[in-house]
Amino acid sequence: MLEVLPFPLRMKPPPFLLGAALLFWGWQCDLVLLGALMAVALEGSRVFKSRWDFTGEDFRRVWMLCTLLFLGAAVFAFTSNEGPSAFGNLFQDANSTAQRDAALSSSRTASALFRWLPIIFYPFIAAQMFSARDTIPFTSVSVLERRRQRRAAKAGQLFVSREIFIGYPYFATCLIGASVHPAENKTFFWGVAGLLAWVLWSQRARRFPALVWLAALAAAVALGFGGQNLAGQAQRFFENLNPQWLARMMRRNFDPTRSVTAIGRIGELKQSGEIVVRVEPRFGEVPKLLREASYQMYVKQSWQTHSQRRLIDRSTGAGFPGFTIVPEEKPQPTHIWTFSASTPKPCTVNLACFLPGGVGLLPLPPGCGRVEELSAYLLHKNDLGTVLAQGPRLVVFDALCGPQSALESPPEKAADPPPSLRERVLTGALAGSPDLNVPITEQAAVDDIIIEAGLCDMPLPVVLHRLQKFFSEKFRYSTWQDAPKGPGKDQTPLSRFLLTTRRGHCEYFATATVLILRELHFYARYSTGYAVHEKAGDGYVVRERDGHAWCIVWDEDKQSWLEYDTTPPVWEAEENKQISAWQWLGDALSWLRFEIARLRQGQGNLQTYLLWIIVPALAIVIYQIVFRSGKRKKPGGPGVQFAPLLLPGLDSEFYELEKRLAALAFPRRDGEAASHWLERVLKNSSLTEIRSSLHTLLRLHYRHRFDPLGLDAAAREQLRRETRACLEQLSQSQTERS
Amino acid sequence: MVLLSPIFRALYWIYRGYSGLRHWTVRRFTPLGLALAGGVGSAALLGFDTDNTVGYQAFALMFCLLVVALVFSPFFRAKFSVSRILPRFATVGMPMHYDVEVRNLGARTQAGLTLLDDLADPRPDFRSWLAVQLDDEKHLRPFRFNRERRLHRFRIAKIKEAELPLLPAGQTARARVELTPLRRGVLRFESCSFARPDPLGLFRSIARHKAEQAVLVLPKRYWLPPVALPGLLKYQQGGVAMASHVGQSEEFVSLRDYRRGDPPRHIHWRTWARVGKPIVKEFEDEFFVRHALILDTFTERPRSEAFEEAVSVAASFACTVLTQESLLDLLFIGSSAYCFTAGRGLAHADQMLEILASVQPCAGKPFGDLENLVVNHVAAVSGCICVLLAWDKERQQLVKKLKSLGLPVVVLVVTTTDDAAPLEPGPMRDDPTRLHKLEVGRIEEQLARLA
Repeated sequence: MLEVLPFPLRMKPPPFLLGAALLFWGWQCDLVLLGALMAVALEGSRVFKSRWDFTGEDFRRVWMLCTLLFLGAAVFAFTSNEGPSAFGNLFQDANSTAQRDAALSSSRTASALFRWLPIIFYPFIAAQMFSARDTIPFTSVSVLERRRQRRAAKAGQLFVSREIFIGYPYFATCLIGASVHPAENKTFFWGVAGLLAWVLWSQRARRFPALVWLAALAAAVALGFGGQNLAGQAQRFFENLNPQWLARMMRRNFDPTRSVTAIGRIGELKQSGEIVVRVEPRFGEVPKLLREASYQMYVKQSWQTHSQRRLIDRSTGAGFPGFTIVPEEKPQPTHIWTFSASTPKPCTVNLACFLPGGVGLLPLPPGCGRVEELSAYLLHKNDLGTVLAQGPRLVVFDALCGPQSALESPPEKAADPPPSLRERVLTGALAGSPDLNVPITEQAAVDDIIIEAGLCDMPLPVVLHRLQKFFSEKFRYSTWQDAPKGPGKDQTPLSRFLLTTRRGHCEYFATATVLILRELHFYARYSTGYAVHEKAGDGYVVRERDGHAWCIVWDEDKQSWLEYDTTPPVWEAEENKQISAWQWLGDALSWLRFEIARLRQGQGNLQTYLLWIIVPALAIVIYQIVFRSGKRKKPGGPGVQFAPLLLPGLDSEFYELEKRLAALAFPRRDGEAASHWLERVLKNSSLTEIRSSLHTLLRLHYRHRFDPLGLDAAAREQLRRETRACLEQLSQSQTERS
Repeated sequence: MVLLSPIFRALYWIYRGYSGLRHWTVRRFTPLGLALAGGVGSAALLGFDTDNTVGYQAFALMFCLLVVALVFSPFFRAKFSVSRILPRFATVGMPMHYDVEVRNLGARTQAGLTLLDDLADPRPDFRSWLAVQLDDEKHLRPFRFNRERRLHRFRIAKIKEAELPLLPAGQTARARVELTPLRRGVLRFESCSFARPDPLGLFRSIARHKAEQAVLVLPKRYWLPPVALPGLLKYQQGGVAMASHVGQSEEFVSLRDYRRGDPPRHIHWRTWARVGKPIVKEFEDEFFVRHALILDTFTERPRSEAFEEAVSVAASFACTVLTQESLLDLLFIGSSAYCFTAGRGLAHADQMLEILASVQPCAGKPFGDLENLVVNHVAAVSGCICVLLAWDKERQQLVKKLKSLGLPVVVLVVTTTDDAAPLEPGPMRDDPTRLHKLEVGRIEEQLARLA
C-alpha cells in the first residue's frame, strides 16, 4: 500500500501569491485598505531579513491565540446575528418563520465568520513568514500529534514531528473569505482563475510544453465560466427539498385552573432550592409576594377556579378555557401588554422566569397593571388575575404595578339574601358567589374558630387584625404532619389543623383564612405564588421552596383586593433549614442555565462576559509570545515529566569531534559506519597529527557505545580528555591556516 | 450470527470499497489535485447559497480544472521492464531502501514519471476480516481510542513514491524506493506502476507492469540491556554437535570398550560384530550454558498485537543471548511442536529470526502441548526465559513445574495497556524480580529497564 501523503505540508507557495490573495480578499470584502496593509506586511518579510527565533512552543501559543480569536469571533457572530433567539424559537415552535429565522441567522453567522478568517489566522501566517524556521512543527497545531509526542517521550522513544508550511492553507482561507458576498459581477471568478493559474503554473508537469498547459487551463476556465449558471439551477432544486425535520415540541402539563394542595399529606414537606424567579427592582419597593394564580373553589384539599373544565391541550387548538387573549399594545421592540385601563403607579420590577415547554404562569407582583419588554408570543388572562404566557423558554420582563391597578376582576356579588344552608345542600347552589363559598365539611371547624377568635360582626380591618394575631399566637408553622390518631382522627385535614394539631404550612393557613373570611361574608380568594425575601446582588432570587400560598380579600371601601397573609413569619426561617450545603453549586448551575437561556433569547450578557474572559486570555497569550520567548524552561526542571531513556554511549564526546570534523568538510554520510568514515577522513593530510589519537578515540567510543560492560572510570576519563585535546588541536590548526 | 451474516458481508464490501477508493485516490491524484478536489468539496458547501456567496463560481472553475485533467488520463502508453534489487531481509518498523532498475522498452523518451511499487493486496478475505471484527467486539472497549482499532490495521508496509530520472528509449535507470514494513512475514511485491501527471499537474495516468518478488520481513527487535540470564553451566551429552538433536543419533566422537553400566542403546552393533566384543559409542561431553526461550503462541485472537510484541520480545532475546557464548533453544507450538537450537556455530541469529518471522498464533490446541514440549527439553537446559501472553492458571502451572525441576526461570508477560493491574506473583513469589509485565506500547521502555 502506498503511503497516503496529504497535501504537501511543506510546500511553499510562489512568491507574492499570499499577498495577492490578501489583496483579492480585501477587494472582494470591501476591506481594500486592510487587505493591502496585511499583504504589504506579509510580503515585507521578503524585504526585511531579520527574523524571530520562534520555537515550536511559540508557534503553539500563536495557534492558541488564533483558536481563541476564532471561538470568540464565532460566538460574537452568532450572538450578533440573533442566532440564540432564532434557534430557541426553532426548537420550541418549528413553524416556517422560525425555520427561516434560524437559517438566516446561521447563514449570517457563517458568512461573518468566513469573511473574518484571513484576519483571525493572520497572526499565525505572519509568525511563519517572519520566523527563522522554514517550517512549523505539526505538534504546534495538532493535539493528536502532541499526544503522540508525549507518549514517545514517556516511552523514551525518539519522536520526529512532521513539519508544515501553512502558506497554501492560508491561501485557501483567503479565497473562502473572499467568496462570501452576493454575486454582483464576475470579478470573483476571474480573480480566482488568476490566482489558481498562478498556483498551477508553479506546480505544472514539466513533461508538457507551456502551450499545452495554457490550452488545458483555457479549456477549464471556459468550461467553468459556462458552468456557473448550472449552480443556480442546482440550488433551486435543493431548496425544494427542505424537510421540516426540526419540528419538535417539548411540553409539560400544567393547570392554571386547579391547584392541588399538600393539605392532609403526612410527613415532611420538602421542596428544592432551585432558583425559579429572579427579581431586580427598577423603581419603587420590591414586592413581598409574587402571585401566579388565584382560585375560588376549595374541593377535597384542592383549589379550583370557578370553571371545572380542565385545561385542554394546546396542540388540539382548543385554547385555554376561561382565559382571554391579552392584546399586545405595541409590537417589537417594546412588547407592552396592558391588563387594566387605569395607569399603574410607577413601581417597576424586572422579573425573569422560565416557561417550561414554552407555556407557563407569570409570577406578577400584586396590583400589576402592565408588563413591558415581555417577548411572549401570546398572553392569556382570566378573571382571577392569573396570567398565562406562551413564548420562549425564558422570559425577562418589567412589571409595572400600583395600588390602583386591578389585574383581577371584582368579586361576583352574592344574591341578597344569600341562600340558606338547606338550599345550598339540596340544590348544590353556591353561597351566592364562588368567592363566598365554604365547603360544608369545613363549616363547623371554621365556625368554631370564628367564635374562639371573637370575629363575629366585626368590620374587615378588625377581623384582619384579630385573625392575624390569633393565628400567630395559637398556631405554629410546621412542614411536618403526623398521621391522624386520637379524637380528631375522622376530621378533615383542615378541620384537624384548625381544631386539633394547630400546626401546618402556608397552604393550611391560607385555606383556613379564606374560608373564615368567607364565612364572615367577606369576599376572599386563595392565591399561590412566591415570597420574595432572599437578596442576591442588586436583586432577589426566588427559590422553589419560597413557593407560598396566601389569601386575597376584597376591600369594599377601597374597591380592591388586599393581599392578606396569615402564615406566621417564622415560615421563612423554617424553610431555610432545608438549605443544602451544596446549594452554592446548584446556584452556580442555575446561573449558568439562566445565562444560557438568556443568550438563546439574545438577551444575555455573555458577549460582555466573553470580552472579559477573552481579552485577559489574549493578553496573557500575547505576553507569553512576545515577552517570554527568551525565558524557556530548562530541561530537567519541574516541567519535565518524563525522563528520556538514555541508551549507553550516547553521551560520548566523540560525537562532538565528529560534528567538528563534519564542519571542516568531512561530513559523515547516511548509514556510514564511524570507522569507515574515519578512514575516509584520515586520508586527508591535514589530519595526520591526530591520526593515532583519533584511532584510539574511536576504539574507546565503540567500547563506550556497544560494549555491554561499558568503559571503566579511567577509560571514560581518557575518552573525555583525549577528545578535548583533539578538539583543541583542530582549533589551533584551523586558526593557523586562517 | 447467521442472521447478521448479510450485514457483515455488506460491511465487508463497504470496507473493501472504501479502502479501494482510498488507494485509487492516493495513486491517481497528485497532492495538488487532492487539494483541489478538497477545494471542490468545500466550494460546493460554501457556494450552496448562490444568492449570498460566490463560492459556486470557484466550484465551477475547480471542478472543470479536474475534468480537463481527467481527460488527459487515457493517453499514456509506455513499455518498461522492471527488476528490483532487494535485500534478503527487512525488519518491521525499519525503513528499507532498495533500487528498482527500469528499462524503457518504448520508442519515446519518458520524463517526469513517478514510480509506485505495488504490493500484493493486503486486504483480508471475508472470513479473516469477520474474525478480526468479532474479536475486536469481544476484546476492545467500544467508543474508546485504541491502537488496535486504527484505520489501516491491515496495511503491511508503507512505500514512498520515487521519482524516475529521465529515461531515453532503450536506456536503463534506477530509482531508489523507501519501504517501511509494518508486519513480519513474507512481503510480496506484485507489480510496478509508472505515473504520469496531466499538463495541469492534478491527475495521474498509470501504466502498470507485472513484477513479482518477495522479501522476508523479520520481527521488530528491541534493545536489551545486558541481562543476567539465570542458570549455570550444564552437562551436555554429545557436546555442541549433539545439542540440536532430539532422541537417538548416529553421530558420535569415538568408540570404546563396553563398561558395566553403559546404556545398551550406546552399543555400536556393527563394530561389535566386526571385533567380537561389545563396543560402545563415546560422545564428547561438554559443559556449557543452554537456555530455553519459550514462546507462548496460544491466543484465540486472530490479530493480536500482544502476540506480535511477544514475538518481538523473543526475537530481541534471540539476538542478545546468542552473542553471549551460549546455546538457545526456541520452543513453541505451531502446526506441531517446534524446537530450534542456535548458538555456538549451530545456527545464527538470522536463522532464528527467520523462524520467528513466520510464527503464527496457535488456536484450537491445548496449552498442555507446550508444557509437554518444554518438559521434554528441560533436562539439558540451564535456565528458561518464558515469553507469555497471559498469566493464568495454566501458565502459572507451567512455570511452577519448571521451578519444581530446579530451573531458574525469567517470566515476561506481554499484556495490552488495558490490563493496568499488577501481576499476582503466583509461583514466582519466591523471586518476584524475575516476573516482568510488558505492556504493549511500552515494551521498549520496559525491556530497557530489565537490567
